[in-house]
Parts: sequence; structure tokens; C-alpha cells
Amino acid sequence: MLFNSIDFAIFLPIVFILYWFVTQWNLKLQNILIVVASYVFYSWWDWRFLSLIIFSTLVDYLVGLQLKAFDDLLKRKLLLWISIIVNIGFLGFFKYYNFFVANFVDAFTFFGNEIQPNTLSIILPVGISFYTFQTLSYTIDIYKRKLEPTSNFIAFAAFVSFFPQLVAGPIERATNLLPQFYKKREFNYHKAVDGLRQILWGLFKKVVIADNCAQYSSLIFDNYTEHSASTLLLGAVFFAFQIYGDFSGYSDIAIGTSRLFGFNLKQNFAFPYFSRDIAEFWRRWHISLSTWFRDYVYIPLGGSRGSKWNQARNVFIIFLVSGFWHGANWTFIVWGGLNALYFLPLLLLNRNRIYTDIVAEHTMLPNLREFFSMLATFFLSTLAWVFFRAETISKAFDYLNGIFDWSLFSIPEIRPSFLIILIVFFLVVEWSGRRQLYAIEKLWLKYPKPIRFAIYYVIVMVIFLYGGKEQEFIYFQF
Amino acid sequence: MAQFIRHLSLFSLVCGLSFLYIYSLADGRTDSFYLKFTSSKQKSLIIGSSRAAQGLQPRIMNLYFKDKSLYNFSFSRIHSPYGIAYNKAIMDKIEPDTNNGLFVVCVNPWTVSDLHNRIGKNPFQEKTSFLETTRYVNIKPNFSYLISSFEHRNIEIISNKLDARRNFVHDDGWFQVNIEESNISRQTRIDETMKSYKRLTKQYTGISDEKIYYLIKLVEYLKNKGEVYLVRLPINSQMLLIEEEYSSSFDMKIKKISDKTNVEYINFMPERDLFQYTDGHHLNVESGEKLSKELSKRIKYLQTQRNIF
Repeated sequence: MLFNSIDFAIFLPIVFILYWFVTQWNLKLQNILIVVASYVFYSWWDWRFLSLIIFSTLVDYLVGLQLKAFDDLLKRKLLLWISIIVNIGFLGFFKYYNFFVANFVDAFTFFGNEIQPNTLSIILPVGISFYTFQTLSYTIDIYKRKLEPTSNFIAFAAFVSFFPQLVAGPIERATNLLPQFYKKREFNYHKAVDGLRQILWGLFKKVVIADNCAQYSSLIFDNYTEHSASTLLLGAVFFAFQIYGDFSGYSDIAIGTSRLFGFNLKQNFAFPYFSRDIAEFWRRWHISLSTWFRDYVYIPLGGSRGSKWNQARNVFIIFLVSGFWHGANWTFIVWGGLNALYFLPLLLLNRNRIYTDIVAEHTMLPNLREFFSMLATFFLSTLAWVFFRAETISKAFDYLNGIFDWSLFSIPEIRPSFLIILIVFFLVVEWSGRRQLYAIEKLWLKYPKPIRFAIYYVIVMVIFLYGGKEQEFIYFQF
Repeated sequence: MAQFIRHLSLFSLVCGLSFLYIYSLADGRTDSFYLKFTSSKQKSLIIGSSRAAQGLQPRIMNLYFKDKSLYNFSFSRIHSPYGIAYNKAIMDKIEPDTNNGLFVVCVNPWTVSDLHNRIGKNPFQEKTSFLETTRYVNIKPNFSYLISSFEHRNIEIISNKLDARRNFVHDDGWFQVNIEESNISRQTRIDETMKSYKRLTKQYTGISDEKIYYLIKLVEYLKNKGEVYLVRLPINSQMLLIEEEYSSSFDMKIKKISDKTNVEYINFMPERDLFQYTDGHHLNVESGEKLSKELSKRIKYLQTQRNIF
């Protein structure tokens, strides 16, 4: 069920009431309810894949316990590899089997040998890219002795399947989320209200910004050969806001929903479009995934240590793998590679950590240099998003080629004024709240309650009136 | 917790009432279909695609059939080809105890054809349209339609209501399209429509046996409810050429259905040049009025003939 659906609007209050009125007396009951609710939530998508997540949970639970039981390095490595093979194996099969078969066939055909492909009609289980990484972080952290395994199967199952973040993240670390299942959650008014506020903002981002941008970006991308350069650029910008609104909106709803149940999830987006360079962008975009790759792939490869060649190699590996994680298509790999090219000069010149603070932290507006840095970074990321959105690499290149044309200085043929106004409003609010965990976290807290409620009411009505045609969350396809 | 529930409930109540109020403003200007799901069950219906929705005016026909109260329950080529979804919606729309109704079933090749992306046992494309997903066809406001099927932003419920020039659905179901006519704009529309229908022929597989089956099933059902007439509405010669290239045997198939079900078939194609079209296949308001009168007279004549014999 989508977060912005009637089904979820009915599901959430039922679980909330059961959680705080029926099970709040007992920790085990609380966790059992989380597991049951999460499995129901997951089954709503497709009950057939419930067995996968349950199997993955069982394997990693047992691996975790065995890792504690054995000191022998070889045995521990073997256990870790069991977890990796099961999780990556599922991911690899459901997500990448057809991709590899098709490319294998293409390679043979290129050399003049025709072979019949044996592709399968494989449905991608929703959330598999997220929960496999989440459980892998558990077993890897135990292997590295950073975490004690849990013998509490219910708590572990709740950690793996926790419904707010099950299907599209944030990818939580066991060190952060699992301990929260060991203590009984007590209701906290301010935490719950804060959660609702974050849900509200997430819905605004998703329903108003992302879904409306989706309509126009699709219109432009699907007929890109017929549009001027300025329209194509606008289409790419709409997509940039679509993917940001969609994904960060989902994360906000996930984090806000978790707070309703007394849980704290990590921030997943920290206003990435206000980044002053690409390095800062990647510290602010999909933080849970980029830190996962940093900790479990980049650092074991050597990270930023060693020769410049090693550093460059590691950066490319990370970005290419990250691109590939997003989907079984060369466009995602090229997208990752392009971001690597953006990032590399900063790393090699040791300029990848010059912007670690918040832009214009102590002033209301950015200075000119900051403004142009943000604009340039946004422009670079938007160009890269073209590969993310396009169906094929050649179409992406055609699209980009279309942007670099004299008609870039013409007025776009498609220019929905209501959407542009909404995006401007959105940017103003995001800018105002850039120092917070999410834009409206503390924005109007200085006003009395009736005023604040009136503002929230206006946001709700804007969502209701201007919400775009329902689109599935983009990251569900990953 | 109590304070939280109180505040949340109050806030939700205010928001909920606001949503209900906005939805209650929905009317015939909201979109081309909504109002048809809000009128009560009917005794007599005009059924078909957008050609019938725009072309046949119940207010004209009801002057000839005072006791029938015809209602236009036609939609569009995409949403209401003959099949499970449309048949069910029609059956739900008819008053259960009807036995002397009048049913005008408009046919054209597109309403009995399948799209290429339907393979084997895949559902018909209209299975995801509002005819399938709108549970009730006769309540006002129809929340089911507005929440699940309304394809525009809710703000358009208000903005459309205030736009007097907007196309709108009358209380009798007739969809009035207001187009500022000029010869140039009409010709442009006709040219665009011809181009798009030439492309469309490649998307369809031809006359579908399954859809013909559902058409026959519908006719058989409606015969138990009253009189049924199969009608082919006129279109311009260019469009007719496209349809004949797509399916040269269409007329013959409808005649066979007419014979098989013992239902009259009224074909207006021979008189197509007597009417004006906004885009080559939708009648303008005046021609729709004229056609509605002509159809009524034909039905009256056929009724008289039946009574004589």
C-alpha cells in the first residue's frame, strides 16, 4: 500500500491504536504487533514474497548467533559469506538475472553467435534492495564485533520488517534501530506531533511536488525530440524535483511514521539541492545508502588511503555499484559513472570536505559565491539525472544533446505556472528549514498553537487541492 | 495521549469536513463523466462512446418519448467499449423493476475492438477505468469516483465550476461540448483527428469476438427491460473511410447481431453528409439536436410498424 493511499490511511490508525492502547503494557506484545503489522503491510504488495523476507530474517538471525558462538576466523568468514550469498543471491536473482542474460546474449551476438535467451518473467519483490542491505549490515557488524547479536527473534524480525522503512528505506543500521526494540516504547506527545509534522511535509513533497513534476517531466521526456532546448532543460529540472520530492518525501513519511510509534530513524536527506559541490551533495543525498556503501564497500577497499590511483579506483567502484544498485540498466551505471567523474577531481585535489557546514548557516541568504556554487551543483546533478530517467543511454545522450542548442534561450513551450509557483514556495520553505532535520521541523513553533494548526491546515488543503495524479514512489522499483 | 487524540481528531474532523465540502461542489463541469455516476437509477438509457455522449440529447428525445425519461449513459471509446465493466455499470444503472424502458445502443468498430496490449487472458483495458472501479453509479456526491477515478487535481472541481465556457454534462447525461467554431479551427481538428485515428488503427487488433459476445449479452439483457435499438451514428466520409479500412465487415456483423437478437438496427451513415461535425466524428450541438429528432422519429416509426404487424 502506498503511503498516500486510503489503504494506508486506514491501516496506520488501526496499528497505532492497537500499539498504544492494547500492547503498550508489554514489550514483547509491542514487537509482535510491529512484526504482524509489517508482514500485513508487505503482503499488501504481494504476499508471495513474504516468504523471502522471512527466510532472509531467519538466515541472518541464525548467522548472527553462530558468529558469536564461533571464534575461529574461517568459520566466522564462512558464516558471513552464507549471509552475503543468501541476501545478495536473492537480490541478484530477482533484480539482475534478466539483465545479465540479456547482456550475455548481446555479447555473443556481437561476436556473431546467436543464442536463444532464456529470460524469465521475474517480478521484483518490493523493498528487496533495502531490507537485504539492512540485514547484511547486521551480520557484517557482528562479524566485525561492532555489535552483539540478538537472541530475541521477535525484536530482530521487527527490525528487519519494520513497515515504515521496509519498502524504500531509510536503510537502518542495526546499531541504531535494533536496540530500540529492546526497550518498551512510551508515548510522547511532542515526538508524536513531530512525527505527524514530518509526515505532513513528506506528503506535500510527494503528492504536490513529485507527482505534479512527474506529469510534466514525462510529457517532455516521452516526446523529447519535439521540444526546444529550454523545454528539455525544464523537463530535466522537473525530474530533479520529482525524484527529490518522491524519495525524500517517502523518507520523511517513513521517519515521521516511526516517530508515531516511538522510534527514531536516521535522517536520509539533508537538503541536497543546497549543496555547494558534488561531494557535499553526496553527503546529503540518500545518506543511508551512501554511508552503507562507504562503510561496507569503500572503506574495506581502502577508502581514501593509498595511492591516487587506488582512491580513484575505489571512488569509481562505489559510484558504479551505487548506480547498479538502483536498477538493472546501463543508464543507472552511466549515471553512477558520471557522478564519479564529478566527484573525482574534488577527491584527488583534497577538496571533497571543504563544505561540511550548512550553507549560509548564520545568514538569511547565501552570498553570491554560495548561490552560484549551489546553482552549478544543481545543474550538474540535473544533467546526471537525465541518465537516471531515460530509457536507454542513446536516448539520454540525445536528450542532453537537445539541451545544448540555441533554443535554450527561448521560452519553454511547456511552462505550468502553478507548478513553478509551487516549486518556488517549496524551495523557500526548504531553505528556511535547512538547519533542521526536515524543513518544517521547527519552522512555525514560535507561533501560538491555533496559528500553527491553521498553517498545517493550509498545507493539508494544498495537498488535497493540488495533489498530482497518483504516481508510485520511484524508489519502489529499486 | 488523550490530548494527542483530541487534537488529532479535531484537526482531522476539520480537514475531513473541508474535503467533503469540496467534493460536494462537484457537478457537470467537473469532468466529462462524473455527473453520470450521481444521477439516480434510470428506466431508459442511451449507451455508447463519446459520439453518443455528445451526439444524442435526451431532452430532445424525451419530447417524443414522454414516459421513457431517457438518460445518456455514454462515455468514451477508451472507457466504455462493450465488455464486462460497461455491461455491469449499465445493469447497475437500470432500475431493477424496469420492463418497458427504451435503450439506444450505439455501435462503432472501436467499441467492439481490442487493443494490442491485451494478450490471452489479460483483462480488457477498461478493467482499470472508472467503470470497473466506481462501485456505485447513482450516489451524490460520488466519493468513490472522485477519490479513485477523477483524473485531475481537486482544485479543478472549483475552477471548472466557475468557468461558464467549460464543456459540461447536463442533468440528463448529455455531454455538451462548447467549441468556438471557425472553419479553420474545425478543419484543423478534423485533420488532427484523422491522423490520430490512422495511428489508432495500428493499436487495435480488429473486431473482437469477445466484445461482440458482450454486446450480444447486453442486448439480450436489455430486451428483458424494454425495447432495444442498435444505432450507428453518422461520421464524416474521411472517418468512415478509416473505419471501413479498419473493418469492412463491421456493418454486416451488426446486422447479424440485429437479426440474431431480433433488434432493429438503425444506420445513419447514408445520411452522414446532412450533419456537421466538430472533428469529423462528434456531432456539433445543432446537428446533435437534429439527429436526436431524426432518431426519435425513426424509432417512433418502427414502433408503429411493429404495432401494425
